[in-house]
Amino acid sequence: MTAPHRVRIFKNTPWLFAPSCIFLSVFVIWPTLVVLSKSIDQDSLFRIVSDPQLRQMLWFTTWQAFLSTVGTLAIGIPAALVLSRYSFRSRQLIRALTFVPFVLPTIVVGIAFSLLSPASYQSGPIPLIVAHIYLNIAVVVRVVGNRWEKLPTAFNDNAAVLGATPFTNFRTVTFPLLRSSIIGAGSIVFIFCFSTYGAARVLTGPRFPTIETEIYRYAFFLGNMPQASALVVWQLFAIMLVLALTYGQKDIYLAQRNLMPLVSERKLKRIVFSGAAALIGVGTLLPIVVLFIHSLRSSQGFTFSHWATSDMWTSFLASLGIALFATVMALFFGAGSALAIAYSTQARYQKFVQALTSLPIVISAVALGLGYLLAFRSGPMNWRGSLWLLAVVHCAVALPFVVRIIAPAAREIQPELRENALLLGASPWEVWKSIDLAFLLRPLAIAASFAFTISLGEFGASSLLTRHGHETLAMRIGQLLSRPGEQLQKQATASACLLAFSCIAIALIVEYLVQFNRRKGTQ
Amino acid sequence: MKKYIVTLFCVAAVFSGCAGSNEQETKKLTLLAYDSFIPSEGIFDEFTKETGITVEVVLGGDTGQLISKAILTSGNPEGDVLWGVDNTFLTRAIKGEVFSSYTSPLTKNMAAEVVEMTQPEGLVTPVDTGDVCINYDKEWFSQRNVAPPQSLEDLALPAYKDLLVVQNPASSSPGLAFLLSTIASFGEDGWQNYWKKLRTNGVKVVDGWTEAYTIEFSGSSGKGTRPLVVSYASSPPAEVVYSDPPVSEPPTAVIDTTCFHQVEFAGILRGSKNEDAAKLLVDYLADTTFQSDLPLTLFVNPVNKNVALPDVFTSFAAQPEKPYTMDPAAIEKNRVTWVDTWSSIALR
Repeated sequence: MTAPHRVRIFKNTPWLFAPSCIFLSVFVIWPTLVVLSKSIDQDSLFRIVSDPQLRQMLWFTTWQAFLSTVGTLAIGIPAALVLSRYSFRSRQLIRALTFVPFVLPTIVVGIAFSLLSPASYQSGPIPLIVAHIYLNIAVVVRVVGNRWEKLPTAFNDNAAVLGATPFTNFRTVTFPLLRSSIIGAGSIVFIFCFSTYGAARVLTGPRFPTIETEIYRYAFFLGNMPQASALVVWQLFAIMLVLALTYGQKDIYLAQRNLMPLVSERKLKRIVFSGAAALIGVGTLLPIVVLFIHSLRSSQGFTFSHWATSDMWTSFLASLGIALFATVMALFFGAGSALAIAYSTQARYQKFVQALTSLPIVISAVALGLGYLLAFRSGPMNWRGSLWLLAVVHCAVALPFVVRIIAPAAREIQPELRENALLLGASPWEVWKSIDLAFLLRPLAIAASFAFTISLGEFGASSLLTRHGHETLAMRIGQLLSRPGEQLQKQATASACLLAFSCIAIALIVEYLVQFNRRKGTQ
Repeated sequence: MKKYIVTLFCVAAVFSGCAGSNEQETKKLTLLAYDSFIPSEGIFDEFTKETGITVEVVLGGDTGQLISKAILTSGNPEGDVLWGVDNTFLTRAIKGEVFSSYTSPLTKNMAAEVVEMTQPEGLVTPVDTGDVCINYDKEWFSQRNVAPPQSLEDLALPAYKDLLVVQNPASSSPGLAFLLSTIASFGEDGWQNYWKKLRTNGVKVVDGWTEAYTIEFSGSSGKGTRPLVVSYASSPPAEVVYSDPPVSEPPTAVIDTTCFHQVEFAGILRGSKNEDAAKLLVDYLADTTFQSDLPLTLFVNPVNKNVALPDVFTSFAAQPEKPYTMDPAAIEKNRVTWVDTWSSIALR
């Protein structure tokens, strides 16, 4: 929750949110309303109650998402502990690695998994849950890890001196301090698993449809738009419900401190943690390494020919350009919304901004893509087929993450710092620049890397937009995989590796920038 | 705060700039097609030289996506000409009022049974045909000294237990084609029983072609365990053309008694502002230059009888003598019932 603002410096917060509000209205709410209003009818809307197959589908979608979330938290929290509380070599590298699965096209992850275990590969709910855990650990490591990094060790030390066992210590001291971030991460993971598409298609097969695969099937294969729209509405409703239930967890206020990660003195502990970290790294990297080897192999030995197609590098450049544009926009709108949340003192306004900026993850990618097709096709809004529209979709999809990364950091800035600066005669602008901006550089950089990688990997909504020759790398992978011939399949694998490597590179660059900045700060 | 306002204006300026550059040009046509529509580069140069019209190809997902999008935007289409509606989707597209009436005069060079499929409306022009058939992994069968199956009936024999992977007809175009081929073969009364036998015999159902062919199937790039898969009659030559390293023989072959005949059509999208130019383009798509490019790029059969097929295609692509086929209207009428019945037999 917000720190007490004894002096309100920034009073005109509506202005901070206005650009995002316009952006979301035009590029998220309007297209969704257009597509829903065109096709929805009452019968389809309530078929989910009467039709046993749809009910079964909804039930499966819910329980697999729940189990996936529990599994992701069970593995992600220890991983966050290792990666945020202990210092060891290549910590940045491993942290960067955990982020990669999150942005890989899910069909690629499915293929990698099937390459890893061809014989025992069985489709069903269990592989889906395993894949969901693999895909979403990054969320827990980021969200919970970021908070964990800032917890002062003094509380735990005191508890330990007073005789608390490590478990009691975690339960009574650490967990309450982490609670809000765990619930926040859990709700995001649940939403992703609930609206899963690619992984469900590859890994569970047709016996276990999920809500998003059914939306897709009704819309495109059965041509039943009213039913597809009805499912979009139910999905929206379910996710809104999850957000409402998990929103408003009060953060225990922590003063912003730049703590260096701890090094455990005990040798045994160090070995255990290094081992765990290595395990995380290997686990994340293994499917990518398998893909990489697969892309290099031919029956005559190793070859780089699949990497030497000019098409791949052209679409890679297109991807980079679009991602750059999308990132700049997402930072502009996202930072504005995040600061609007942080600087406001009205809980209702904060809730409103948070809910509105969450919309892009609430709305099905199919609905968003079709909405663009219908909403932007005539008159002054005839933007169909424009390249920048692709960047706009990516920006919309990345926006909720940017807001969620920046807002908590902005709220944690100690108001005393601002007050002192004001007392010393600084102008509000100088205060903002020298205090707020300085504290926000790190979350801004992390948010930028999120936005950039999300844009690189986005496939669902952008594959429905009108394209004029400029394919992104993620779209190219989908296209190559849809045709027979070993060469094309291998080229798809090479493109997927390129995508994975770019994500690793971006995450690494940001980690090092952040570290560098922090070291400079502590000197 | 000024910064925000200024940036907002900049963004708005960029937006409007982009919108402005999107003006209609009279000498340009947009051809909408499915994702795997990748003809030779420069194939439209000749058309541009003859007519002065440039062609831009816009890809729009798989056939299902393409048609659903075309129906949603019917009357205000994303392009001028649509390539690739097949006989399983044709009736739906016609009901959705997607097309403006035109059939190319070049249909005189096409087989009568293909042209008949466009009836009664004459809204579209046939452009290619293909067959969906069971493909098998040659090495798998020769290594084990097992003869590959010869017919649909064989697939239900114990010798082929747990070997077949098919696509879900509720979500995949070849999956639906294969279901139709069993319905055409065993009739309204027999096909359910056949699928019960297939299920007992361990048929695996996956969602789409990519999952079946590249993950589950043992004969192509993947490392799957199943040597029998539903794919296309032209998949073997595709394996040769895109083989790595080059091979002279495909690793896969086709069981040509299992095939379902698919015909694809092109039509002018209703609401196109360049109908006259679009007619020229439809003619070009049905003419020899473009048609001869089809076998080795899209791996489909040309419909224009004046086109000679390339060697690699004639040697390796199966040309089934009597593929199963079905009237588009019958498909559209029964599709939902058939697929629902199938689901209750094969999935639940």
